[in-house]
Amino acid sequence: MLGNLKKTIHKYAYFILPICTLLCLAGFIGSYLFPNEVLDTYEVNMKEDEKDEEFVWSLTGAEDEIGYVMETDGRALKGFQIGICKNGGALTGTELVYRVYKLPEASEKEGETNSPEEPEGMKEMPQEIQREALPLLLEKSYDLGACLDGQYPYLPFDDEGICKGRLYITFTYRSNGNEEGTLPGIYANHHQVENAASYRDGRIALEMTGEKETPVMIKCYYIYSHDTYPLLYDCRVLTFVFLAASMTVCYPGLKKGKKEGMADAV
Amino acid sequence: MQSEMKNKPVKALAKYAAVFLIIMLLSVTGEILIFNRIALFHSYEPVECTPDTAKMSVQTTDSLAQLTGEEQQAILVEQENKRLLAEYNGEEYVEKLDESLVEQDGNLYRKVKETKIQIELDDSYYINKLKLEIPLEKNGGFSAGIYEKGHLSPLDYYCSINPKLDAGIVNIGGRKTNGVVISLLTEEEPDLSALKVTVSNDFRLNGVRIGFFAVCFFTVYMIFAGGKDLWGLMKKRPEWFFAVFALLFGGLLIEGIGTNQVSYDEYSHAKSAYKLSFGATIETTEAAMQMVGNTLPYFNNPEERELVESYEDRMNDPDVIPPDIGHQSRFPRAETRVYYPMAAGFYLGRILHTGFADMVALAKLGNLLFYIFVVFWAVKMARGYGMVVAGIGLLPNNIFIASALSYDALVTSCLLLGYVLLLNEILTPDEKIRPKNALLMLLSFVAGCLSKPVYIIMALMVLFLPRSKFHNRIMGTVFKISVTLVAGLMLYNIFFPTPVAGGDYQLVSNLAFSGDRRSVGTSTMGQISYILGNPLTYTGILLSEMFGMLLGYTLKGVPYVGYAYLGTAPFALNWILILLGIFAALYAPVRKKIGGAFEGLSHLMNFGVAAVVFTSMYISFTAVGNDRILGVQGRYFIPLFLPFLSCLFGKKGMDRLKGAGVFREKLERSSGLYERIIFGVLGAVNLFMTWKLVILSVNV
Repeated sequence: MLGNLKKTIHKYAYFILPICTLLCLAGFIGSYLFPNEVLDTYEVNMKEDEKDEEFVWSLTGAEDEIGYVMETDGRALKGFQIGICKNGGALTGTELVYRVYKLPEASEKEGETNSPEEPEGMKEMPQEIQREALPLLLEKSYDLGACLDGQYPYLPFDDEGICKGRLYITFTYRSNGNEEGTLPGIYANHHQVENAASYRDGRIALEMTGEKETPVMIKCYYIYSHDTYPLLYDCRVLTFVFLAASMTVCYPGLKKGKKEGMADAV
Repeated sequence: MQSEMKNKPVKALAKYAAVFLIIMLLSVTGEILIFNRIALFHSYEPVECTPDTAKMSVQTTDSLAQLTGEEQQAILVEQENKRLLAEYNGEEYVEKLDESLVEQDGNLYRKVKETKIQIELDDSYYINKLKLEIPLEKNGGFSAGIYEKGHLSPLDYYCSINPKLDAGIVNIGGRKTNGVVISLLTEEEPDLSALKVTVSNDFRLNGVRIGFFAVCFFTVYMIFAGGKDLWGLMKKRPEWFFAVFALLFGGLLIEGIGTNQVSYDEYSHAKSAYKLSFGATIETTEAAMQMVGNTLPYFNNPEERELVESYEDRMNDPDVIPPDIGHQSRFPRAETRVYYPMAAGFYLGRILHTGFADMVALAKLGNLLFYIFVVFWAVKMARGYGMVVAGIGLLPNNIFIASALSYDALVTSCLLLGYVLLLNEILTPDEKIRPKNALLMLLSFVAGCLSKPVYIIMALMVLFLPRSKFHNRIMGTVFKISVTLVAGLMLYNIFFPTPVAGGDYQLVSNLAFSGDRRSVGTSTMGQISYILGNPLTYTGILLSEMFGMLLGYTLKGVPYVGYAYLGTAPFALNWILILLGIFAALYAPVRKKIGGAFEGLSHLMNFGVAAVVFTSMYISFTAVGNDRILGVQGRYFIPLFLPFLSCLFGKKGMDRLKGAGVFREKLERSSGLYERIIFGVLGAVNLFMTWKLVILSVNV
């Protein structure tokens, strides 16, 4: 059986190898045209500095708002992960509402005010943000009943990639009639992150730690994406492997040539 | 006559069964006489001593222990990586030294507690093993000495204590004593109430050692007493004998080394293979986590091995510590596919619910079997150079790598097969290339170069195949252009890889940050700029390093044969193997030897590949502008052995030497003498290495 199969393959090599070449070429082109998008998780602020401790920044009411400013460096932000503290409650039905606003670039300064007395590393961050003056890019919600206490759920943004540049992200909650009485919170610490700051009700959040005023920072991951081309490498290499192998086949036309006296076409 | 024919297989079966029984009997006898001789006459119930025992005195003081060169280098590398990460994240890097370390006279020392333990035994005992148990949070260690005829020997017996095991066992070697002195070094204040020292001299047969003796006797039988039938078969079908020897030598290594990670970057290969053994969701148990982090405890003797394996099984139990759940793309990267043979072993171990150590052994076995399978075909398909290929396949370095978690076995085996097929074409200039051979040859080269693309240059030898190999000029030209494009695309991928799936996308796709993180001061772009800016200086460095290494291995006493971190063989073995290679190439039954242009081109190709290997290490592993090339190892040139040996003597070559032709005729007429010399020498070298570096170091 195996012998027969080998014979058949050998017999039709003039047909099989070019077909394989074309299939690989098609795969090569297809891989370029239809890439596979994968998410990249970037740990931004997940470890505490020495003498610092993680704490819960509670949302004290439905009007209470926690904000976060960040810079995507030209890439489209696909999502965000923050640590949810449910304070032991189930919070079924309660939603975390998150909105993304577009902030003007640092040089433009619109809808924000700066203070010269900001801590080192936060000089570029606006002291106060009036979100009403900013264009809203996206508003979504996440059911807090779906995640575990202490978990860092993935909060997806959009697929089109509009969340790009300098962004202001806000978090509030909507109880939707949940009468548990438990309030959710977000994990934070005092670690300083480049080009980022956390806000409470539109004002930059700073706390005295020892004798120094340090920023409060939400613990989070940024989620970006990039395209992968899973079969690109194989297809482009195999295209030429099969093409090379095809060049060693004695095609029917060549056999005919031999009959007519072409010694090389054996 | 018919009954005689019928009886022949029965007789042969009876003969081999008898040989097997004798071999096993001799092996067990060897095990008893060599490793259990004293225990045979002087074994006793293990004696346990604790601080409560009247005969044990204990005293703890403060002390300093100097870090080894390796430990100091590891701290430097870690600091450099932290600095780079801080730079990448735009943060300020502040260098800090661990509080447990002290710097004195340019050296680093660790602050430790030294506990002196003195034990007086009631009677004189022959001590084979000394076990010290104490719960620790950090690594510790002890050295021990014994009283012999009233005198204290130096504290020559060293043993580390891994906090995961809370115990260390050291071999004393069956020496008679009535007292033991121990110096215990710990980073923390030891809990002496839990201290226990046990001395023993048990009669224990060890399967690994018995297996070793059995393989030794089997090899001796095959080479010296196999008989004409067996030797005739060896001459006719050397690939089968290669497979048997490789499986036996490799199997011994797998079983003898266990989960000790002693091969090159084994933890990193373990990580890729383990991940690949899952689909999109990876369940990493605590034991696997420690394996990929290179933090599993090591063992130094069979008794410690039991402790280690029991610990690993506990850590591998999802009910003890829940596994970490991770995700990965369903499409593994091209370079990652080289781990499939090992991944299959991990998968098999998991579905069979074997212990952790057995699962690792299965992964290594997967690698070994794949290596044997590919080299088997390389030997079988080689026209005349079969025994040269078998000899390269049985080099101790290759067998060791194939028996470990490493992709290098696949690289070596596939390149061997690819070059064998290429060599076949070179040796038959008047025969057309068959599509099957062309396809297999190119696929072998591509598979062999998936993880180390620089070797694809070897495939470019096809560019010099004559016009007569092809059906017409156009087909020949397209064939050669295609192979050039294959090589070009594989080399292009080194610098511009297809995007990966994973969070390290920005870092790996950023040439400014690329470079080997195991070495300080590396930068791919920085080094390329340096080379382009100083071409003459770099050429000088390159040539001096290349010829320096060649001289080192041939004249300056640098050992070549080695089992990675287990150690190397004496320098003399370099020359034994060089002479064996020359012998194998010289008397290879090749009808038509390579000569003329191909001879020169082969050597040029070897030189070119070697130069590229050195350059790649200069770019990726060496600090920018260094006047040395770091990280190049002799094993990187194993794929070039066949191209080198196959045209070592040219067309006429050593036939010019008096007697060579006559000796060749004698060899051809003999019953596999040529094959027996090659298998015999390589068998002896492999077994010597295994005895010295595996049996005596971790199995006694």
